[in-house]
Amino acid sequence: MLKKKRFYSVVFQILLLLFTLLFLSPLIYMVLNSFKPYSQMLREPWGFPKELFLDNYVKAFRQMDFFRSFGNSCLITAASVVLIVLLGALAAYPITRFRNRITDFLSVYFLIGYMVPTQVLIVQIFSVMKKINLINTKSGLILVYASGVSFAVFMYQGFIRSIPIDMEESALIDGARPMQLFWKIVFPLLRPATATLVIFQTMWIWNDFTLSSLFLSSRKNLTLLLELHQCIGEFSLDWSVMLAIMCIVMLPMVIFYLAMQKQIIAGMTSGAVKG
Amino acid sequence: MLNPKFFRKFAPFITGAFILYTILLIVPILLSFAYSFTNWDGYSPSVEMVGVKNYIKIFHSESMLSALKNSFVFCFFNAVIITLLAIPLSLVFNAGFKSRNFVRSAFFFASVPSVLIIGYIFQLFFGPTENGVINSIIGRFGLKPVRWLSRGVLPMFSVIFANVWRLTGWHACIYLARLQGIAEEYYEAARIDGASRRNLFRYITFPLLAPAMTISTMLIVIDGLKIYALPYSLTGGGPGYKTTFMTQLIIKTGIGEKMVGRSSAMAVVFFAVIMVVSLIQLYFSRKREDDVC
Amino acid sequence: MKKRIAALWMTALMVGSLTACGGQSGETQQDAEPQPQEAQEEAQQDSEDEGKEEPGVEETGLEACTLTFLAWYPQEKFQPILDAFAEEYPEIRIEFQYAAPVADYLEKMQVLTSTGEIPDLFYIAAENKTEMIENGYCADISGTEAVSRLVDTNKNTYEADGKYYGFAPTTWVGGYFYNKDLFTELNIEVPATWDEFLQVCKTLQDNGTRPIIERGEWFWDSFLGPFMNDYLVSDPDYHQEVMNGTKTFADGWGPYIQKWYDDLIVPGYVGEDLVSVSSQEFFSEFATGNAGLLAGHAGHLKEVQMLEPEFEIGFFPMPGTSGETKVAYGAVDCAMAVSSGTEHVKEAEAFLNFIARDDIVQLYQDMNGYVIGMDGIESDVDPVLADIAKQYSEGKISVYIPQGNWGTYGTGLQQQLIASSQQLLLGDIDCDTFMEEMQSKLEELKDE
Repeated sequence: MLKKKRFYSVVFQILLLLFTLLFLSPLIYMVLNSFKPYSQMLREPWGFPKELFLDNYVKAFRQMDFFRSFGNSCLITAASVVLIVLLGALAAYPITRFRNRITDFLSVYFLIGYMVPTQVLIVQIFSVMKKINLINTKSGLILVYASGVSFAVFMYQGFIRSIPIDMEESALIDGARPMQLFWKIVFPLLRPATATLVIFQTMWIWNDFTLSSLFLSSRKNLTLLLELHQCIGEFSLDWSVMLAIMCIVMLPMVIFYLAMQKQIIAGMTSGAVKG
Repeated sequence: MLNPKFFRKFAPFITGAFILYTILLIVPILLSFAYSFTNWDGYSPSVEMVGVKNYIKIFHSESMLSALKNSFVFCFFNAVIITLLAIPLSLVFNAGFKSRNFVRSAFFFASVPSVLIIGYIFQLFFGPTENGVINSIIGRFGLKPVRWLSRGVLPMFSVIFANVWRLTGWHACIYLARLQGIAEEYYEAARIDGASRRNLFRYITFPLLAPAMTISTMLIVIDGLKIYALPYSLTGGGPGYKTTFMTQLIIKTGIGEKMVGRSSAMAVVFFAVIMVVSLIQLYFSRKREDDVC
Repeated sequence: MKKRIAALWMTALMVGSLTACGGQSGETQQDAEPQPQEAQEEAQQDSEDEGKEEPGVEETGLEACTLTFLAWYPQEKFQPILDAFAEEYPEIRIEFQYAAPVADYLEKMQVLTSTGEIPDLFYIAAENKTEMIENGYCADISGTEAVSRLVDTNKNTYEADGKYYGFAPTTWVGGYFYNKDLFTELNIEVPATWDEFLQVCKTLQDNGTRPIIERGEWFWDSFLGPFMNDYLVSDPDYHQEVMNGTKTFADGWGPYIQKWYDDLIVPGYVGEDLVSVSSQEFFSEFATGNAGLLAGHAGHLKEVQMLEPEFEIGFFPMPGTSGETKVAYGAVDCAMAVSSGTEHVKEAEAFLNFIARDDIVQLYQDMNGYVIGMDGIESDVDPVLADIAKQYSEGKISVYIPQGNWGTYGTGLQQQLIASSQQLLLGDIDCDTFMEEMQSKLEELKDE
């Protein structure tokens, strides 16, 4: 009986692994072909590279300003995420803890932002940015990303609701100032939600094209994903080099993801789900 | 409850987010609203007010109706399919077997690359000729090339497929997180009562997944209506208008046809639609949550 | 955990900033070297070049400045020209920006103009030239050396009210590339008329080869051959009249769209799957020998050659029903323009004049492979295209693409053309509806 069960479990796992590989085939395809000459990619898309072929990567690195754009991507993503987390958590706290007409309104007011597709607002956002003189600067773009705090406010609200209020009340009785109270007691408790938020926002900002392509123009400000587009000409693209560039663009996110892997599920358990 | 007067002290908490969000998101929305009553072309310095003409025009416009329909079709099937796949997948993720960490990571991983990259890769996969990646594989089994991105409903299917591929693992993780929070006692009690596995799922797991379902479906629905980059890189909105969604139509009208006024009117209507849809959806999810818990 | 993440960011940032200056330095320098003799002749003609020996600021009358340039070609391709310019005019820095044509470029340009953030130098193309010129965003550059060197067609494409606003040194000429080896094997002659062309398609199809490959947004271009050569030559103002409302799309295009549908679509020479052919398959179908003909121009030829096809490539223009080809599929390329709001007019014009120099325009031509439209300069085009380039240079043929004639409605009508032609190919609409949709889109755009 036990043997039979074991046998099924092995079969199940093998099938599952095969299915997982099939599921990952688009990404496998991408990585595999980035190590092949274009002509081989066409003729045998699933064949292994005949030798260690790195030309695509050499060309990719020559075409893209890797280190600078990587630095830009890191800076823009990190700064925006930090802003989103801090501002979002701060705003969510009083909105959740004090239910009155103003906070009820604010709760809805912040939710609107998440429902609006920003792509259709670019001309409008651009005119506002122009008024406050923040075009073609990294800080301008960071503020635009950070204006998407609505999701953070929404998420933190759900989470704050689920933590008991007693500690805050006793701290208040002890005469703590609101800011102190928040940073010392509340914010640390929000950690799981913060982790989820960091992952969520990092992935979207790192991968964003629409906003960054409009708000950044100078080559010196471009992000990694924008470098990918610098290599696309009017008619075509050299696909094998493109695949190499795609792999390069993706790699930092892979590392980030592997580092944060445990936090993702743990964070979702406590953070997002209680929304 | 805390002292309401206390609220004043909390103003600094909200100010930062409020100002940033208002200036860079709400003001642009209001600007859209203002533009929607003009005939601005996006280039000319002079602008005329045209009243509600743009609104009348867009409600008679077939392309608007078809794009709205496409957005809804996409949003609906996308939400249903992802939910139907993510829940069983989360059960698999939650099962105790050796390679589960690898499997979890692998499925979640699909959401890591940029949507644009995914669109380009799937364009190669769904290529209509014998050189298309999928077609070259089925060609080995003697099958004829399939016109993935042109035949009948296949273009819409392909866009949905790519998006489901991208997000199912992600949403399965949301459900998984909830599953891990369900206390083992429920199951033990039910097992003692002799409940079958199917009944365990039906009467315990599924109802208790309700909060996860609320957040997951809300995200899928809103993101589904907002979709832009994926069809842009995968099908370009074609063939014809088969995969032109509202977001793309708004941009096409504003940039390509140089009717910023009209495209703003479309945007305003579309904002309203998204808001209504997501509020309805949220209302029903929350109600269901209250019913089952 | 949070500490670890923070550490990760910090290292990432530091690596990024430390090595930020590492990338992008001197490539392809030797290509950029100007030929000494020509350069000297040039120096006599062009007063701005006098500062060549001593590139001092006072001598040239040019101020040290930075010009922003939103380009239509990727930096990697433009680099030789930029390098040469930097050597000649070290005091003028070009801040190169790029957005991928056509859609991304137009979007970027529109957002920039709508907020007055216009770069000093930029490109205008058929798709946006009318509103860029009419709304006064482009400076009048009629007086520049660069414009004066252009042949009339290239000059007039970017003219309005007798003034010139764009400098377009090249023209692309297109038609069909064919697989020469396959043609020899199947005993096919290069077609000179529409009927012969249909026969070629039939022979290819009978052989199990796809006759024509073209991308989903452009496959309609195969109707142009008969239209251009049979109709347009006798009614050159056709599009103008359509714009004025004295003629309709159905009048001129109608019969030729119908003919195209009956002759190419019904027999399946233009396959239904073309609507979704990606740029990758477009080249690979032809390069692997699956398709006999590829509709395109010099830019496409370069891409095909990169795939190392194992056959020789030939070329013929799109034929009309009678023998002689007088109009070819093609257009004057997009033009460089100077912003009317720039503070550095002289310097921006110096950049255009620099590109107009004999040796530099050759670099420009190397970049895109098109035909140079400047008096007395031979184009070093690919041998495959040498014949048609010569005919164009000698004025024996003219060029045509529809969207170049639609003025401000260009992009709107083009979007309609793409969508409707795809619907036609998929059998969702018929030719008459196609023409009606074009017409009603035009009315709608005019109404605005």
